[in-house]
Amino acid sequence: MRYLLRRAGTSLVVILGVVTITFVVSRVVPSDPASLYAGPRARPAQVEQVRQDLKLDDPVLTQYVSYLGDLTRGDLGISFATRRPILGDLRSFLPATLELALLATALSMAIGIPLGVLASSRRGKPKDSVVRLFAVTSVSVPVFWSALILQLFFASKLGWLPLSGRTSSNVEFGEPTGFFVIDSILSGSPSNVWDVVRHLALPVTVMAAYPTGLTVRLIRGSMLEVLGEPYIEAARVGQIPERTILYQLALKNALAPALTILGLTFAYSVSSAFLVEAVFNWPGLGKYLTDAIVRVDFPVITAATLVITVIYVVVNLALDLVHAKIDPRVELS
Amino acid sequence: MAAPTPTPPTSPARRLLGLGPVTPGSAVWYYRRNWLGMVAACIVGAFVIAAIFAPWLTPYAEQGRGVPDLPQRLKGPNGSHWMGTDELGRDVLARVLFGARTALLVAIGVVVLAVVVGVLVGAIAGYFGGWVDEILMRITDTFLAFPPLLLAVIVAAALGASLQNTIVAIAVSWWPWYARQIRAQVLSLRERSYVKAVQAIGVPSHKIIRQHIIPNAMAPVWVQATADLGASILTAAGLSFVGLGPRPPTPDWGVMIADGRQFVLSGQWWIAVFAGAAITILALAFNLCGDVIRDVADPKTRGDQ
Amino acid sequence: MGGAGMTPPLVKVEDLHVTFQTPLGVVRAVRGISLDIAEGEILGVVGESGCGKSVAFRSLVGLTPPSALVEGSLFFEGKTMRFDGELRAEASMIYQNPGAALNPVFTIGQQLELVAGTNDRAELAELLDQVGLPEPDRSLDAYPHEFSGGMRQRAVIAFALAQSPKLLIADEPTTALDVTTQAQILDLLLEIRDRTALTVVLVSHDLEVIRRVCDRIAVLYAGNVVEVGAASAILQEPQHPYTRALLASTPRPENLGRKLASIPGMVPDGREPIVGCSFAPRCPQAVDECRVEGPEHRSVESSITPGVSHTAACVLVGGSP
Repeated sequence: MRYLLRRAGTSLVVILGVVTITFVVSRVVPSDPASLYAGPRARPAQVEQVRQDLKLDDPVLTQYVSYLGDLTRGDLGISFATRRPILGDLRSFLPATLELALLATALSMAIGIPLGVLASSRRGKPKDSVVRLFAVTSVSVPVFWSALILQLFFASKLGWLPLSGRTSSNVEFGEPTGFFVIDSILSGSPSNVWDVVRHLALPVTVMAAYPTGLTVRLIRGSMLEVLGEPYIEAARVGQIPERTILYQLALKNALAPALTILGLTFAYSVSSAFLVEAVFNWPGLGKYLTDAIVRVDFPVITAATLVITVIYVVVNLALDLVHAKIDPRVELS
Repeated sequence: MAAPTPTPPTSPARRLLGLGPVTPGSAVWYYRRNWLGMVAACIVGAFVIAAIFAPWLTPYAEQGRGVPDLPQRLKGPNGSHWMGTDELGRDVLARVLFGARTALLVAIGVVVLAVVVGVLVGAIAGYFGGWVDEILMRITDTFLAFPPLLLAVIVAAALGASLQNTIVAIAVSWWPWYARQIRAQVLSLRERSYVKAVQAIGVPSHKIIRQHIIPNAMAPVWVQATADLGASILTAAGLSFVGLGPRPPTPDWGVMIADGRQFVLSGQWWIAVFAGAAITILALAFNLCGDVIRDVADPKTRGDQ
Repeated sequence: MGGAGMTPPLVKVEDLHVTFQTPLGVVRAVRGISLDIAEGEILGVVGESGCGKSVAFRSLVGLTPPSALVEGSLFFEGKTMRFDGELRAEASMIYQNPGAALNPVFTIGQQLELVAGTNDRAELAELLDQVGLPEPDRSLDAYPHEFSGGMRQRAVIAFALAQSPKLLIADEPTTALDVTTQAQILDLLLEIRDRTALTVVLVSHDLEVIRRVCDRIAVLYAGNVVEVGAASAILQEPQHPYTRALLASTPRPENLGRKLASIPGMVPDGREPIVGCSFAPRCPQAVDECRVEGPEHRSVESSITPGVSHTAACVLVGGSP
């Protein structure tokens, strides 16, 4: 409990720090923040308007205080391109991205952990080399390129999977959660579910590649360390079956440090979402962000980054708490 | 029983550099026994040569630098344009060769910049400890709280798109990793007797850090930095792809994929495919080298193939 | 020939060699050990660090790295055994560092359950009680880091006994413990042996530990047995120059006031071939013959333990080879 409070406290400090960095990057670093905020095609009068709205002529400290005030009220500013409050936009785009990121993270864990354990248990053998080569390749391919290639192949050439989007244009159902897998199941029509799954297949596969490679390498490394520990030798001498040793006794030890990396995996999924969504025309946060970059919609860029980072900090907090649950020694330190 | 493995003769390259034969059991010796690592090193070498000698390796050097040749636009791979031409009629192979210059420049620029900043911050935090350490590490942790690519995106967006800004933007999101690593090293070095000894005779702190701490803490950082070159290439390509990379006509692989993307589905696949293949192969080679270097640098894993 | 009596040995090791293929050449850690272990005895194995004692006995239960090549013969109750861990069905081990031999993220009970093959709480608690752990029932729910060093070693012994082994290999079991705890653990080993007729191999570099509990002693040097016999005979009438040097370099009441001798030179490099007697380069009594041919074991007639086999591999030892 004390650990939880202390850990939550540091997360708050980190979030404050993240807000500060975002503020510095958006208001202090650019030579003329007003023209950045007003957009590339703004007339001088509009730039002047923005300068007054954001009080950019005030001292930096005053600006910082009012920036913090806006954020605590949930005011992330207004997109100059859509003229809508950014918070509302983010809220409507977030589920599409989270659906991708969560499925990709889950897929990469499901593949990466067993492969990592397998490689570590066959250290130096052909199976180990194949798995390692697979892992290093999957962290070396740029996601937007593999997205393009798979799209070209499976959607355009073979026509097996849809080219882009979250659903086919003729498919419609209610969206109470915004997670289409759940929503389509709720709609009660198997064809809706199938359509959603087919649309998810390519983007999720592409997004899972990098985190899978990362997971394999981490689990393998962490398992190798654990497998060299005397308590594993002791378990072998104690004639505990090798499967139990690998998947229970060793893996639980290997997972504890690797959990921190699960957060990183999620972060990479979210980061690559922003590249992958652009290719698959996926109406999520990433597409919103890339569109904003193309239009140089600066308020959106900073706000989206801020929100995604806060989510990432919260995810890491949650993982640390799970870590404490797995490893009884954490509470003490 | 096999006799002890004979020492291989000194290679001409090592003799040229004034180096003696490779000591059996040293990291270099182990690296050379890893065939995958050697293949990867050769690929990296090939890209470096391609980057340096790009103007002499292609008859289309001007196009490689960005001069259009509109009558030849969007031709598929053929005898005179092995990788076809792009939407401005430029030879894709020439663009890829010149793109290697950009890619290597960015990769090395990012790593060097991030290492310099990280080492300064980490060494100062670790050496002085106390509140200096506390403040510097809080700042470092805050930077680490961002998903790396996103921090690079807002910094690049704030600075404006250009080659230098890409390097700065990525380095801003990377230095904290090195800072933490070097701090951990320094914390252990600080307690060594030889550091205690020079402290006792009153050598000033900045001298101790420069002459006794940093040189001894660098080895693991260089290993990490080499391993990071591949990731640096990929991150830079990602930024270019969304339009935060170097501006045209600078030859850049990420930009080539972004520009070629609109033609892929209409059948002109070659621009995006060859540029992406170049990124993948170079990143893979860097990552493989990094893996092997990391393995041989660690006595526990150096025998691994 | 049996050790302590007429019964056939529980374990017989013949011409055991362990070699490591390293990139720097072949390292010979064990060079032809032959040894009998009698049922119910506590055999002490002593030698300087690097003499191969740990490697040799770990190889019996298959605890050698993949780069190691184990050759020789191993018999258990007369049956041939492989070196791939087949002996694990009959033998358990306890380790130098009990903290590291316990899995940190599982409770003592969870780990004991796996080796004991039962989840009956009362039975598990009984196993802990037998090794003298206080509050055995509560200890089942404890994590290793909540235990002291001595308690951890008791838990490790409980794990070893849970498999009802006939042989217990104790690899430096007291080295990491403080002196009081050392004595308690050694007493526990003696008590267990008396209660269950367990056979124990106690590997240690510490002659004091060996002296305290062992019935017989084997002295190892450079991967081979140089002297073996009843504990009292070896300690009081050492025959091999190396054994004598080892005893002289150990603090003892009778050495009080005298300067402790150290053995000049170093244990031979495992990569170098050995010609002649392995101890000859450091031996004060070495003669020319020693540098030519490796000495055979010769039996010694001991005045202290007549009738008990006592042999030493040295040309200076009288008696028949």
